[in-house]
Amino acid sequence: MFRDGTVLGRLLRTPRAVFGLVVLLIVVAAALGADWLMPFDNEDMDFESLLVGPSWPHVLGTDQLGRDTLSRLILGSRVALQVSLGAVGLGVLIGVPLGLVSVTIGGRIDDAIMRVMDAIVVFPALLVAVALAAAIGNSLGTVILAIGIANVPWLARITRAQALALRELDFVAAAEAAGTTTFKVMFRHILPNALAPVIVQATLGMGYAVLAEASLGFIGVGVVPPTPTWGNMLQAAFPFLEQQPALSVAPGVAIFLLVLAFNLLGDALRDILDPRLRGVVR
Amino acid sequence: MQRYILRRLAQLIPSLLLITFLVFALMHAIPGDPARMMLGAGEQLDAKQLEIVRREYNLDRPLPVQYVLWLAKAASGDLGRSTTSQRRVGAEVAMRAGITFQLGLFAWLIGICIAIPAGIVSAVHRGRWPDMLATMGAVGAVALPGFWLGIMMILLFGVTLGWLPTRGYVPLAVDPLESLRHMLLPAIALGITSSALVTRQMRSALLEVLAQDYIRTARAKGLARWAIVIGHALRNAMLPVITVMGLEIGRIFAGSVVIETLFGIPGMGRLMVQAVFTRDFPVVQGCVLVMATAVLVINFATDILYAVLDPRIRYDK
Amino acid sequence: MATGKALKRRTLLHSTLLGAGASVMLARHGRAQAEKPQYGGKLRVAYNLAPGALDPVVGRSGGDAYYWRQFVDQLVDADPSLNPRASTSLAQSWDVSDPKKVVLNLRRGVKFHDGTDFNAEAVKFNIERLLDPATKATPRSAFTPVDTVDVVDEHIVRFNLKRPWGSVLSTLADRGGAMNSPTAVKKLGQDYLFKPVSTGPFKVAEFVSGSHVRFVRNENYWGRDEAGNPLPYLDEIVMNTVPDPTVQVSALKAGEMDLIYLPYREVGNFETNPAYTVRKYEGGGIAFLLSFNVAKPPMDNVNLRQAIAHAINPDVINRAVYFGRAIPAKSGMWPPGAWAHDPTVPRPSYSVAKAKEFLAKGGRPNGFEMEAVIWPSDLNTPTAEIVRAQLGAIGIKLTYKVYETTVATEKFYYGSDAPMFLTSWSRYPEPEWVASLIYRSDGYYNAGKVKDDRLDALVDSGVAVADIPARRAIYRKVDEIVLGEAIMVPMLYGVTYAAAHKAVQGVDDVFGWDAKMYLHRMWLKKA
Repeated sequence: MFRDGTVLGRLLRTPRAVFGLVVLLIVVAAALGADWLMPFDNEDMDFESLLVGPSWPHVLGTDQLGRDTLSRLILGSRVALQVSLGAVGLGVLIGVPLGLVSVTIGGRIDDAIMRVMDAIVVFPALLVAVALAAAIGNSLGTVILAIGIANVPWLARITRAQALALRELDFVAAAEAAGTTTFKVMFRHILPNALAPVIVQATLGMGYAVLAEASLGFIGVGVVPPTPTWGNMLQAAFPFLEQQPALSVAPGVAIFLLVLAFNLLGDALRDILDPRLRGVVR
Repeated sequence: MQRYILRRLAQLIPSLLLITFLVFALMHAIPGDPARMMLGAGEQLDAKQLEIVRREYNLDRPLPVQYVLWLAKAASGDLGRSTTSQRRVGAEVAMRAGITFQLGLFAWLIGICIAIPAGIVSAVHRGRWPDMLATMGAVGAVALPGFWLGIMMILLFGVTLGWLPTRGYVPLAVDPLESLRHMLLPAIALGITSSALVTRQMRSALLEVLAQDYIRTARAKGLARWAIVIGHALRNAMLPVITVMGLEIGRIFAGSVVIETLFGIPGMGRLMVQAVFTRDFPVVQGCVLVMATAVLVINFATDILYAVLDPRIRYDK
Repeated sequence: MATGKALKRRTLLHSTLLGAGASVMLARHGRAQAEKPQYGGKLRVAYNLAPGALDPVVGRSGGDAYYWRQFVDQLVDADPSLNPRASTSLAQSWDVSDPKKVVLNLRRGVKFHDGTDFNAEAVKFNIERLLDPATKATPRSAFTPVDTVDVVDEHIVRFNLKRPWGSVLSTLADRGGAMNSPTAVKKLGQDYLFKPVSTGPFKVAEFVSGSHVRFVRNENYWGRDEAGNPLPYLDEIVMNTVPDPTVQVSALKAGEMDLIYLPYREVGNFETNPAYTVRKYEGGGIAFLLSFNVAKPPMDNVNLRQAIAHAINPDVINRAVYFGRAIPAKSGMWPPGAWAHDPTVPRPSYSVAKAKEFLAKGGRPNGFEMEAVIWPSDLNTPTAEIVRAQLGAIGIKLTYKVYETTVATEKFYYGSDAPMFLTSWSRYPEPEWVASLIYRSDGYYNAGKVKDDRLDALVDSGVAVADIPARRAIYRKVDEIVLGEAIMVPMLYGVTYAAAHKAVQGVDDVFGWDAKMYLHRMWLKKA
């Protein structure tokens, strides 16, 4: 369905998708070009201008240590993208095969896998992150792992639902009748056709991952200093809310825009790929 | 109906066992000796005391044995004592959970009070400005980090305008009005995402119902639009909305940790995070048990409500 | 650890001890209460940690003292310089002249809150309870010199020692010297943890976990102020647990609290506001430092440690992170005001040139890469960033491993996780507590468990004598080794700031000897 090139074409004719794409492109550009785009080194401390408001040369002001907020915001886009891609990638890599295997084997195993998925949904991602941080320390990896785990059940459920529905269809039955092994059928015939909702869910999951990283950063579980992330920037800014509110505004706006972009893209993709999915996908 | 309820109730138990065991395993996978943590890293370590603590908390037994021992006691209502505060876990968790439930319930109610009317108006005035406004608001709210909204509200209502207390907690029993005033901002911050999702669900569900034949018939008979919506359409449209509302409670719980940290509310989320850090196994287990039970019971209640409202669901299957 | 040297025959009279370093706090006490105190009223205080337990012997949180101080008396109380002070102690005099025993002569007519008598039997019960491993008493290891306890008569009790115990009086001024009612302990069992019964000026009236502890006046308290008025003055104290300092500050401003300790960033605002009394205490509290695992490369290299010590500029950290309100470290770990404090032993001074010199001497002229452990907080994290930048300036590239406090402590000191740790330590005025934990080869805070015979011998001799000038000379030598070889690098000395509404009187006395709140003599001036 991607080969005919119409998905992108239709996306470009949907205003909200265009908005999402533009924001996403800006963030990607910021992440890739951070080294050239940052007006200051993100670690440069200017002890003569601590906690200054937006002004020249610090367009978005400085933090407690006199570091340039704009530069840190630009660099922070890297972590935001790494986390969203990493966590969703992990979710897809585990969740999708799990969903397919669950359907293929069926019976008790299917039940058991889905029960575990239900349990993980109940389990707050935050607790996993905190436990991981307690065990192996804060790092980008822990954050990706924790948010990735939280993504698994949603992707597994959707893949499973889709696979169950597809299995009833004629061409799959035909393939099975022709003696193709079950697993081959799953991965050759069902998976490609089940991808649409997975892509939609993955896009939405990226927005969720950005939000989750921000929350973790804010409670102090996450990426270690001196790497700036939008979440840990908000955490560091909070004690100075009265002295320098600008410090708390900028990262929040960045998070909001990126999540909005992922969500709008996801919505648009859902409408284009499969209008019936409305309400099914989270 | 009764059999259906019983069967669904029975299904809760394996889920609970699974969750508590997963947490138990996870907690014990964390390296570090809980007995040492308990006696306080450093100064007070004393070989004899360590031995006594290990025995008292069964830390010297194999992991599955520890889990079974915990389970047996938990089943009789004894969740043990916290290894840090040394208080009974049951009492400690109950107190903190009460605060989180109060916050969560308030957030949920605020979310619904915004979402249901917004969703209805949006559907009824489909394509016109109230719909645009509600839809855009909902899309925006889903992308908003709740805790950041909280920070911005603290800035506006607390720091700039001085209208509302921005941090801390007052028990409902001590001063109901103050309690609610303290809870207002955190509840909004916590409920905003749910509110947006419920609005969207309400809108699409109502639109679907409004497009159906019997509504058109009612319309053709000359019934007023609002009378149709309230008298006929709403009931049927509520079904999927209730499902989403139920699911949102889980989301609210998950979000409570951050919001409690931000607003200085001594709830269960913070207790749990602190307990993980200090390897306070009994408290972590207690919190997870309460939280998982709450979410599962709410899911269960949602299902039951769904079954009651939807005659198409057969109880005997 | 058991082979101590013979204790010199010297009687440790409390009155002869008011020596070096005590003058500042004495002046405060002398000035106290020019006005006649008014009785009555309720004092509302906020503090950020919940009590681990209210039973002082069993609690394990550093914040416990804020609570139990209000309702206990200690066998030996101490003034703000940790000199024993008989007038406020349960022992009215003592004899520590024999290295084999400690004899306490107890105050007469003192009763526990439950009406039972405080006497030698009660002391024996308390010390034996603490020594029983099943009690899981926090100060048990500090009391290991005690062999047996004898009741000599109704009011005289004797500790028979296994080895000399030079720090006995300071130790009795902390948790282990707090006296609990034997009757109540026996009757309540596990419940005693939160329903303690002692002899102090206030009684525990109510404990609400996560919220507050309410204390009410002990009508039968034995203590008197300098003018002979009965203590305490207040009817009631409510100690609220408020974890977030920002919340504490807004509660103080809103009039919901009467007294709090201030975060550094707020000190300036309150000092200039005439509605508040602001007091500071430079002793006690905590110090922010770099701790090394001297067994783990590259920090096993003394030159590289010294390079780090010279590369750190505490002034910059103080200005950016502490709003200029802490004190850049100039010496070792003994806090100013304590008798052990000796500022003439300097900490390596900030000098990039010297730092580079030591790098070259250590064989790494172009610097090196290293891991360090930190635990996050709104003070630690920015400090860590500055340290990273300052070390970066001489070519040392730091990567941080971040864990929560207790985990970080355990990983660094027990798990040998990294060569360096950016942390903070309580600065106890009794040097033995710090020295035996950090500098002895078996000390928990000796991360590498490195055996240094010179330090082991010094630490042992520090408790083998009870004479203060002799002990002071010993701890000076410890400092010379520790700072000279950069076994750790003190960066800043914390300063504790208290702010109270103007009506609150006695704020001068709030810090005690360890900067943990001491509210025995507070009173409220009616408008």
